[in-house]
Amino acid sequence: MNDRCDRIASWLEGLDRRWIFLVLAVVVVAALLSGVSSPDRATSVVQPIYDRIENLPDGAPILLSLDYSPSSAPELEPMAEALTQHALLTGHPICYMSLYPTGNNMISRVEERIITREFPQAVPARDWVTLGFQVGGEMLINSLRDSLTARYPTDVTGRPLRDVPALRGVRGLGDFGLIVSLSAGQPGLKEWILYAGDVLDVPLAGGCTGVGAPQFFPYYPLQILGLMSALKGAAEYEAALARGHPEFTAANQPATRGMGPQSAAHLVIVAFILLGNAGLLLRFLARRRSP
Amino acid sequence: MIAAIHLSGDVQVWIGALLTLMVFSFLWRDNPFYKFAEHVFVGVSAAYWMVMGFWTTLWPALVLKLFPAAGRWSSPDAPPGAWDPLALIPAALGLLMLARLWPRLSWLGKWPTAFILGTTAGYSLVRYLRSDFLYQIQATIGTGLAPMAAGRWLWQESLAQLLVLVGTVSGLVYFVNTREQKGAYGRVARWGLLVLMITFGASFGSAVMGRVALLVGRFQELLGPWLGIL
Amino acid sequence: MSGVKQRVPQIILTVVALLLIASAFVARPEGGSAPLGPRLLAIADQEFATWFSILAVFAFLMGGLNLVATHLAKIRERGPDRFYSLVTLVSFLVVLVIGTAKLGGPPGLQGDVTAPGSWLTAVFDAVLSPLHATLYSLLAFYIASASYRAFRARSLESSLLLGSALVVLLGRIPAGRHLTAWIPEPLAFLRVEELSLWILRVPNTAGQRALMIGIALGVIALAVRMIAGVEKDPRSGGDGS
Repeated sequence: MNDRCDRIASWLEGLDRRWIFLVLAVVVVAALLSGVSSPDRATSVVQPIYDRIENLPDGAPILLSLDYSPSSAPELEPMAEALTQHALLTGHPICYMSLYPTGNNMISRVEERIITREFPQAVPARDWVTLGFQVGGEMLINSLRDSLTARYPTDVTGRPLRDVPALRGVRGLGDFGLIVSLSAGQPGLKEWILYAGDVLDVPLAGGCTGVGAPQFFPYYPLQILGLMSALKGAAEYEAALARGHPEFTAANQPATRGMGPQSAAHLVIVAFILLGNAGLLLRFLARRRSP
Repeated sequence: MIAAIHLSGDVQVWIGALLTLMVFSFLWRDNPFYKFAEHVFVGVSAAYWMVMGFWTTLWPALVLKLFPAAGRWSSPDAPPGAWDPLALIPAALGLLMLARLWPRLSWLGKWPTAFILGTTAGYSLVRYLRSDFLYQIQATIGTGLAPMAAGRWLWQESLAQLLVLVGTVSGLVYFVNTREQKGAYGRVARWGLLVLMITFGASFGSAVMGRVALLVGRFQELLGPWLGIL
Repeated sequence: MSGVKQRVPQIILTVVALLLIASAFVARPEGGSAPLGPRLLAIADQEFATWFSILAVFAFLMGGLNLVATHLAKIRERGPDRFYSLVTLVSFLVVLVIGTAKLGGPPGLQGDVTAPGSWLTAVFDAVLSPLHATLYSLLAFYIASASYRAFRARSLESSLLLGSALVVLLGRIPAGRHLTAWIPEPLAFLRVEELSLWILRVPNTAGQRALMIGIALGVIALAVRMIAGVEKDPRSGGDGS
């Protein structure tokens, strides 16, 4: 009996990690192909962002800072897409910018997938404007406090900002109805909190990756009004949007769809953790029984 | 399943898919395909960053301020700006930074570095003091421990706030290494350690979620645009 | 001369930092009638941030030049990895030319360097984006393997770590929600999705806040030491020259 426990424990400990890789890959692909997904509901941490946009004064512009690169896009792009749809459905102009060098391309992807396809009637410069990326991170935020034109004399197409109706009444960051940073790391949401939210009287919300999420909870709700964390946060926002705007339900919901394979992968990892601990338990039992 | 495959005819999608498979090949073991992809990544991303830095920042914030007429090439619709003599300072500091490439002049490269460190120290001192120190203390104790709503005592909220207060203080006690952690002080520090363990566990769980989402994203790209299965 | 070499960087650092600290306590003046002091501080606050960004671009340029120098040297030495160095150099130079000349997209040098149709965007879509995303997605496999090998409940501390991770792992997915849906409404706070959110909002907030306050104190102390010239930062003259 002891030998058997020992043998099983040794086998479990010596398992080649490539088996783990293979199981994880197969399960994720199978879950993707099955198309299983389950709609979520917005928690008390995500709902305030939705409510804030719903209750903004008419035409108040929203600043959306896409502070991520392709490596974090699967988590954060669904948030950018849902927020873009929400803003356009409620008639709030969107101003895009980014603290990441890949930001311009990430913004273009959202424009193409959502604005061009879902809102063909939207007019550039009236319904949205792209300021794009500039180097500097927190220093860029600091420069924009009083005047956007201090760093962005024109938008990315070369149009002077004074000719952009979407930014009518906006001089600096404090004039936006809401600022949302979708953040993959540094520079990102933390810099927005330190250099804009806590300095100016402007509502700030955030979306972040799973890796960064735990460090932002201390800022909620005093310094940020809401937080979407990882794909789950995006799925929650999609759920809130689908509930409040039935026309959205027909649209693409990438985060809700992604939660199916996400579930499957989590269950596999939980199973591996339990299996690893089962090996530990077997070893412990074998030692206790041996004279 | 194979019958449902509709391979993409887009060259860009094919390049992306092949590079993806080259990187995934590392899961088996290190190999020339992975190394090739890795070195392409280094070269492309370095150049991409330089190009983006030049066109998005250096051009409007330095070149156009020193040579406003150059604006007619990049944004002919915008009126030319005024010459800004202040822009000579960052230009000079930038050139001094490049002096690091010549050993005899490399000491001049410390001036722009000192400016960068001074800026970072000056900005971060006040911001961290306000946002990560004072506001965190306010959030821990400032909201009161007995919130009420519609005349009812919210015991769950109160308990949560009490736990946050105790957890934060004990966590800080655990970090203090100038005093031996014995007796009552040691017990508080031990409680802090346990709170930190729960914190790290939550971070791990959350990190797994993030990494898995990236993997799902890659498989979606392979199965969707490339193979046409999704 | 050596005095200049040593003192000037410290003077720059201290003056710049003190001006910025002072500017944080003075409201930015509206119009040109404000006293000179507040106006100077406002200019410092505004301009230093922009100069910092410009210097960051110069740092990018330095990085690019270093990359070229390193890989050229490897090719010249005819080391075993010279082919890969050549790959890095070629991809670097190709993208540099494409981007600097703004090939494709709007005519001439107009518009966004990443405008639809530009060659830089084509490189981004075909090469940079898939490589960037896939390199990071590899971590999912390694984190799964690490969970299996290293995540063991050997003590109270590691059990708490494991338990909290499991609750968050299960509570953040729909499958976890279904797992504890049978718990009656009055005890709904025991459902795994509620527990997961509770862990993030309560013990996690406490632990992260303790870390955050500790780090903030560290940042403040480091900044003060640098301003006072006590801290020897290796980047600003660790060789003492």
